[in-house]
Amino acid sequence: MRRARGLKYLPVLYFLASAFIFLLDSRGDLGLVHSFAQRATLPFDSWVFGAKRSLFLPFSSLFKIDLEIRVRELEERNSLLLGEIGRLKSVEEENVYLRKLLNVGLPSSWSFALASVISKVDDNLFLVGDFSPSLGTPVLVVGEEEGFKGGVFVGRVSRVLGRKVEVVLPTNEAFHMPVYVRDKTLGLRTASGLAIGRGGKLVVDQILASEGLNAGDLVFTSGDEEIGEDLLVGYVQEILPTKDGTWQQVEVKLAVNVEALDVVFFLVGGD
Amino acid sequence: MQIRTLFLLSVIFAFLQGPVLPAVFVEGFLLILVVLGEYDEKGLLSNKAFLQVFGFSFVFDLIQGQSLGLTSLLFLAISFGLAVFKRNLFARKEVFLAVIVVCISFIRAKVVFGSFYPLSLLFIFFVTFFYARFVRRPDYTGLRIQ
Repeated sequence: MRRARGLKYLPVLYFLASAFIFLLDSRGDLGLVHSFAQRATLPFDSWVFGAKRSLFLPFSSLFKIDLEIRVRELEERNSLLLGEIGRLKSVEEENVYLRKLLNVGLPSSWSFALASVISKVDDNLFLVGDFSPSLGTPVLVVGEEEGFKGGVFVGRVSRVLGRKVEVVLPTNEAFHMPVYVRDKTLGLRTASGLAIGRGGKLVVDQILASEGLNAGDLVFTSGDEEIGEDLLVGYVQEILPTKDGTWQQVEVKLAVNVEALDVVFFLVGGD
Repeated sequence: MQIRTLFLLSVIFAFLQGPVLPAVFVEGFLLILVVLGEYDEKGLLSNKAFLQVFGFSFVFDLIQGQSLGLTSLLFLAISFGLAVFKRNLFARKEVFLAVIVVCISFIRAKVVFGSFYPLSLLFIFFVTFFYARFVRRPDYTGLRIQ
């Protein structure tokens, strides 16, 4: 009787044993058992799989055409998707630049159009964009460095070829524009002159010898018909020896690293 | 069914299911075979049936590299449920048997592998139906002849 009663609960015991084994396996305690089992079964699995492939290989040509079409379709779709990803990434980057532009406190009356940099050739920059600027349109980027936050002057549009735009850099020999110098410490306007490109270099000429200048002083645009004012051009690098005692010249290091530019803005409207 | 036969069948199919056959194929059918064959004099499922279910489920999990004990838990629970029906219902209804087998296979496929194999379910439905209809003796009620 006792034995029969005990036997009645055997199924429950099997159930509990299964639960216990499952618990142990979930904790990873039965890894050795799995490793042993897989090591024992792997040769047979490989052999069976190889036999299956050999068996069906003669019939694979029946399905080959469909597969080729499918592969071609998938490749085309893949190319489209990659193109979309590239476009979305570039939109994302442009968004980041536009946000920076909004945060640097440029005059609210100014409006901008975005362009991407293709390459720099000598003292010219080549851009591409959807906007077609007029000749002389200034090009700028956003600058956020020590002691300065605002627009940084890059160059001026010299040629428009459809979507491609050529921009002349300040270091170009054909470039000149009025600028002023601000003291790096006090932030006061100390001098004014004419920025002239000298083929790879930028020099500010026609500065009165009496105006005090220091290396590191900031050079800004004075503003003219085309170019707005207070755009950072660069920093005084070296004060050149004066020739006649009346005027002095300074060599200016550009504030922007043109080689590293990806995106720039056309200044297309404003007071 | 003899334990040796059941063990051999479960090992063979566990090896084939995956490389050649769908991952879930004959387990439900084997379970029903075990259940059909192991009723005692009182018409209740015998302890031997539960042991067989526990054993062959464990073999499937081990060879297929799944969590050990999971299929055993599932199939033992199903066996407890099937034990309620006793042998009379099983003796008559082929479609009912086939549907039970499909449900068992579906449950295992979903729980253990996370997917199911419609064609293999359809195939096993017909295998079970034809077995119950033509192979199993019509007067077989699962009694062990002493």
